[in-house]
Amino acid sequence: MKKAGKHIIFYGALLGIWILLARLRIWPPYIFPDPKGVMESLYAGFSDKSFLIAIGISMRRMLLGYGLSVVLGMALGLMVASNKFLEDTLGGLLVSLQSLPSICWLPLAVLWFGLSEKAILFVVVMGSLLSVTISMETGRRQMPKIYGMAGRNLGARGLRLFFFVLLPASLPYIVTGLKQGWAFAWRSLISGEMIFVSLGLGQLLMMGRDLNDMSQVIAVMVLIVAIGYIVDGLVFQTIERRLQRKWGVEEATA
Amino acid sequence: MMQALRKSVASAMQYGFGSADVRQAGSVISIAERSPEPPKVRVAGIAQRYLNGSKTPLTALEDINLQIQAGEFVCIVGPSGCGKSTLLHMIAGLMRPSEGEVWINERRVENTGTDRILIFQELGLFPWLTVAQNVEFGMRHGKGMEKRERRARVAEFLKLVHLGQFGDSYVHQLSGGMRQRVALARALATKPDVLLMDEPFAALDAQTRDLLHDELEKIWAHTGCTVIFVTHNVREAVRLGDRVLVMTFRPGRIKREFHVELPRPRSLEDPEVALTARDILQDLREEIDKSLELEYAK
Repeated sequence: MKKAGKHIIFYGALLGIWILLARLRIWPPYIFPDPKGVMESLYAGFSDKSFLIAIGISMRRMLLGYGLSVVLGMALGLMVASNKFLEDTLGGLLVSLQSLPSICWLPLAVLWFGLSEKAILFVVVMGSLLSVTISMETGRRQMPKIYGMAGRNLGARGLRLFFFVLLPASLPYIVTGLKQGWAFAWRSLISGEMIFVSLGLGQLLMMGRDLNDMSQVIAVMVLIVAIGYIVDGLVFQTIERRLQRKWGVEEATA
Repeated sequence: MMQALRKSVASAMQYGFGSADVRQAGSVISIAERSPEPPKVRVAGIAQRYLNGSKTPLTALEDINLQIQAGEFVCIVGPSGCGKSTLLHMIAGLMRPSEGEVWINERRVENTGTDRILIFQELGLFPWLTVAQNVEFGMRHGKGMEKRERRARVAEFLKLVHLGQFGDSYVHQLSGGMRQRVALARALATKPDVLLMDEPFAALDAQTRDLLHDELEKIWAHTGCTVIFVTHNVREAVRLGDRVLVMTFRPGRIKREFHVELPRPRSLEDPEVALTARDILQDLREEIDKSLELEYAK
């Protein structure tokens, strides 16, 4: 209750300042819209289904791209963690590649895949693959060795050992990386969609600019933040809470 | 080539008169006479060397020969760092020795298997699974048993270790003694021929440990499995074992073996147990002193 109270006061004040600034008319409304205009834009967008379609398309790309980078990243991370040569060579390269903003892969993706869905997916994958890989690699190494030994001792081998022991055992160590990977993928997707016009939320944002419709621009930005917040709350915080319940708080957050 | 041949001949000879008691050569036949059944566990000429960066390799284990009959309870004592845990890991198949072989039921150990289960010192219970799922793990992923059969056996073994009410709990919710029991149930549920225990009760308080000694002894009598129990506590070894093996420190060898013929059930406080333990401890003391000397010389 206390937390909710704080939130109401904070966001109420924020909204108040916004309305006040809009009322003062320092800037014309098409540059600085008021909350009512943004709400109207949101309502219009949802009632003509253009927002829903854009969200659907963006989320599908996210699921595909992020899913792909989780699978690839885990495999790659495990490989790097289990091989001294790869750890010394590829490990360093991965860390330095992480400083490259993922949108830099777009020109390359367009040349390789053309103006297609694949190009966008490629950018999303490149955006999140590295952080998943690096967290899997460190997770694999931080994970106590005893779990792998206990699993083998009880007769689990190969893929069974991976899916039923190594993966769940490393989850507390990689969940932060998975979350970060999702955030990176989301950013990469929106920037990709903005530059490379092909439906989705990013394009909606650019359309707002092209039409000089600032209300729509802000409405879409609100949507992007809201979706990020909801996924974080629904998916990742649920996972984290479940991990803490199972492992006990100290071990899961260690 | 010749060397390898010579080595294998040597280890074959060693295993012949390796363990039960120290006899002169030619005892292959006499052992066969004495025990017509083949040994459950046979450790033949095991050695373990680490290179460790230096030119002369560190020899952790050397010339370990053991024969353990079905249903025997064998305890191994030795100073810390003598390689007793390593030996257990080798029997479990988690680790390959530099030299020598381990045979279980006359089959050479190449990998881990559910015919022998190790209970680790740190237990290695899976925190992401419930107690029941932990107990089920080996039956599900090691033996591939059917669900109905698994469920029945989980219930059976949880009851055996007095944890019938805790199947749905998670490991972090249990006390140390309860976790120990889960590990025991998880190991026993696959019905292993050989139970390997690596200082399992070292971290427990005295009362809990006493209780678990009694329970382990009952379970051992009930299931008839073979137990190899590693500990640094000599009294514990005498309390539980039919035989107590004393290991030397670096290189780890089997120095002596004691047959404990006291009637069961024994207790840690029994004067006979204390007396036998004192004998063994005298033997062990030299090794402990040696290990301390080396430790502090550095």
